[in-house]
Amino acid sequence: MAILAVHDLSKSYKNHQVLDKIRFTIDSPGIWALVGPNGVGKTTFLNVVTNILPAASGTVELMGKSNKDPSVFKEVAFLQDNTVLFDYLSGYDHLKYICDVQKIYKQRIKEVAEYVGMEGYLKKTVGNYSLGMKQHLLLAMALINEPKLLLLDEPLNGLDPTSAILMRGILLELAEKGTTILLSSHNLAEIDRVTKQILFLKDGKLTEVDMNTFENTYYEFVLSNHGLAHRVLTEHEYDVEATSGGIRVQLDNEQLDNVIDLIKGEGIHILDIQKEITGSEKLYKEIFSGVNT
Amino acid sequence: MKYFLFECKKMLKKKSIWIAMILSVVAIAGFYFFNYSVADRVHQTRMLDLENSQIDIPEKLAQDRIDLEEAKKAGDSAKVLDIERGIAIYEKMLEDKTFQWDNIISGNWAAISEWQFEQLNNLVQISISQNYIAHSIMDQQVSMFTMRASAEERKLVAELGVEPFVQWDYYIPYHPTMYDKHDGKVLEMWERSTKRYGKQGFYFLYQVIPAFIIPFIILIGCFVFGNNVSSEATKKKRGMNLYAVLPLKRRQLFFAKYLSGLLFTLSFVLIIFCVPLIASLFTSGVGSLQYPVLIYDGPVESPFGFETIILNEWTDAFQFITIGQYFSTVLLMTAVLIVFMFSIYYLLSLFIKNPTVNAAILLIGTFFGMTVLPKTAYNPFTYVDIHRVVNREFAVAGFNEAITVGNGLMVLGAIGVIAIVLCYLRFRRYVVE
Repeated sequence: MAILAVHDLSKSYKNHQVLDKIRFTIDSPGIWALVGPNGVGKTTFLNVVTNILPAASGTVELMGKSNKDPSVFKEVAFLQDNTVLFDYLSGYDHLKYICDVQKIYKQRIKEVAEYVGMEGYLKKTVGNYSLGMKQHLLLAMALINEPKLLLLDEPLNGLDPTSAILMRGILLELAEKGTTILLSSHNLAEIDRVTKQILFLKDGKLTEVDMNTFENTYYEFVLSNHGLAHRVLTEHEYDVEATSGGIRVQLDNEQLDNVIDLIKGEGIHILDIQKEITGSEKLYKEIFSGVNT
Repeated sequence: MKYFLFECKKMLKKKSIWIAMILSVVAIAGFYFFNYSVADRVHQTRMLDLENSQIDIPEKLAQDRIDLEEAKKAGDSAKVLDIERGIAIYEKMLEDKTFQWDNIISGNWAAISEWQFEQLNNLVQISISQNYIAHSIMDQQVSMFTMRASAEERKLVAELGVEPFVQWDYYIPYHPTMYDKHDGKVLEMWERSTKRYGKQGFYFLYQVIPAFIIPFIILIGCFVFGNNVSSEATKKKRGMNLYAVLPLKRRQLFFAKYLSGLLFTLSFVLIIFCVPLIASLFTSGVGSLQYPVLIYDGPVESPFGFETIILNEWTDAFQFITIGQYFSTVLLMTAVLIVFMFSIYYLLSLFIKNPTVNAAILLIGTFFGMTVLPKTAYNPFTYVDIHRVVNREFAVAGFNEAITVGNGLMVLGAIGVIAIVLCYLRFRRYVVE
């Protein structure tokens, strides 16, 4: 049974074909990122997948059931944008309603609120929430039924760095526990940190890319002698560039040991090392060149 | 049930709904107190007239008696006769006014009504005996039916012994009926003299119901509570999309939303009805539920065995029910009218998201249905004018015995159910674009 199976899914608005006979299947748990510029149809795709919007043609199966069957949402959750929230209700009211519909015990409200870090304002009216607080509530609403498939539309919108880190941690933890996650996002740096499986949406078509084949790993070293280290590594044909705080070297994982040995061999002290993985951004530019992002 | 309660909770937590409720309550309470102040002014004018007459008429009588003595001394027999006649009239007038003053002061309304009944009944008897209507206003005769009904009403009020409606003309307090056919200046005078003001809570409601206050309140209720789908399907508010990703059947959601809106509209109308009753507790009380309400029975059976299709003010029948019976029927019809109007409004709201446009369409449609479409038993808008259906004015005036409360309940209920089904069919395919 596929976790998510999309067959020839099409959707158009007037003359504009947003989704064009998309075929796509997720068979095993993991994190997938849906990427594309504004207006390309990411939200439409998720809305059609969850049957919020009717498809012009094609079928969607979630956890082996048609997306037209409301009971699929016992195992599937969709984090939408914050316009779905009721400003005059509290976060607790929202969660309690979902508990009632999902027939979940009320204790779960407290658990999930603590999990996403919103227990401090759970009983406040949503109208008084900040953008980040609303995002926390939406996440809590999406997680309360412990879904097997979690769809997220721009989950990082409005999150401060702390919340973004928390969100990333939660997504990775869920994936580790076996939840399948499909998220759309503009934040390519964040995507790089959570998944290598990217779905580019362009001209109504989905292109699945394994970023492992495109990604570059950089290490930024803060050293006691940057000039010497730069010269030594260049001599050994490493791709090195000077940065404001140190040097940046492109490496494969197995090369790190050698580089550290070379640096230490010259009597240079390593004060700090930071790893940076890039790839989606470059590929994004290649795929969507000429598209207004 | 939990879904329904959630929708109710949402309604209760919306500030805009509370503001609309409070404004409506203040408006109807303000209307009641304004009406009460007008009624009180009319009553005070009457009391002032009675009070002044206790001074003016004796003075006039004293002067007339002096004139009478002088005329007797002068041997002017014609003048003596004339003055004596005048004195007799004024003595009777003083007697009547003193009688009224004393009884009003002591709260003896039965005596006042009994006296008014005698005046009206006198006119009826005289008219019958001379086969000619005995009371005219500027050459326009008062309808015989009005005269008969007014006399009968006053007799019942006298038996009841309660304070009647306040009316400008308290000497001969006519009950206006559909048989009145005045025009021009007389119509203006007639309307002013027969206009009734209810100071008591129930009487106030009875006074305003013929002025279409019920459909108007229902329309406000629809406007406030009938948008619980469309208001959650706008560009900025997409609450409907939250339900779409929950294991919730569309049917369950529809009925939770529809029924919560309907319940709040029903409650709203009931609350608005209760406001004048509560307000009246601080003024004149709620009044008697035994007060008589005129019901038209129309032409009696002709000697030829079939009903005539001409109204006859001399012979057409009428009866009175109590205002309590009247209200119970009105409330029943109001409940069904709410289902009808709310369902139509709800259907509109599933196509048009702007509540003002929907309310305007419903208002215009109702007005069109009431005024342009024929008043038949199967026209649901016939029953929007609940008062004239309950008192059988439409049935008698249109010679259509099928326009009854029972048929009204069936027609409004049936069309309401059809509208609910259409709402559900539309809701099943409702998409927030």
